[in-house]
Amino acid sequence: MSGYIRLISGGAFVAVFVLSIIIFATQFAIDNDSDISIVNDERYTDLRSSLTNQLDDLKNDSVTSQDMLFKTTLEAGDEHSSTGAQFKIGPLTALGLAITSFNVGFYTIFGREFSFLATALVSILTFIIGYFTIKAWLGRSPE
Amino acid sequence: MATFPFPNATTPDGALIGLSGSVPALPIGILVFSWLMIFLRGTTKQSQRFGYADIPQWATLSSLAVFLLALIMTVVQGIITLPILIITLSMTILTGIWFFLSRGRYE
Repeated sequence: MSGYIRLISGGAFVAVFVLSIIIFATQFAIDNDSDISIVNDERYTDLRSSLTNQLDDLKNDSVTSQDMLFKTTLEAGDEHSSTGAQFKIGPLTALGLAITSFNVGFYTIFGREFSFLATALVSILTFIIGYFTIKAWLGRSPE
Repeated sequence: MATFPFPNATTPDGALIGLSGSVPALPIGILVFSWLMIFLRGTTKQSQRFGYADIPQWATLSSLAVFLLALIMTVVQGIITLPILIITLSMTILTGIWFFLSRGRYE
């Protein structure tokens, strides 16, 4: 369960970190009237707006997930909920923040020729999300 | 015979921008040197004192320091170019993702 929480909060922290440095760099360029500014690179202005939207989505997902958990009732003898719907909301949004940032950074440095590496990383992250979701929901490893 | 036209080093502009104009790899070399110095010194010292080194943490820290150094170099035209700044920013983002998604020592 701690791994599940760590994964989701890690994704959210990545977004906050990336947004902070982009906003800092933009403001630095404005304040000092820099000749070279990251505002001139469209990828980073796009990344900034997409991360802001994804953070809003995460907030809405968190509210929905919390609402569902509050409304869940358990009868005597119940082992676990039948749908696990509360675990389906949130992780993908949170990891989406990290994946968006990763793709922009990765393509900038290595170019699209190495995109198979990005695909491999995204696949591993998706697998980890599934693993921790099942573990948190059923209380055991999915083997 | 000089290997490159030596700039007028009596003014700060000549020493920094002129030298970067003569040797374009110099600012990049300074950035790479700073990254390696912080990263290697940090990990070595931490492993000497505590027996382990938090590599994602030091990679993030050195990338942030280099990014701040690169930002200062952007104030004036002629030291670094936009692609170099973007690469340092991308490095910071990638190491930041590595740091935030890596497992902690005490977990």
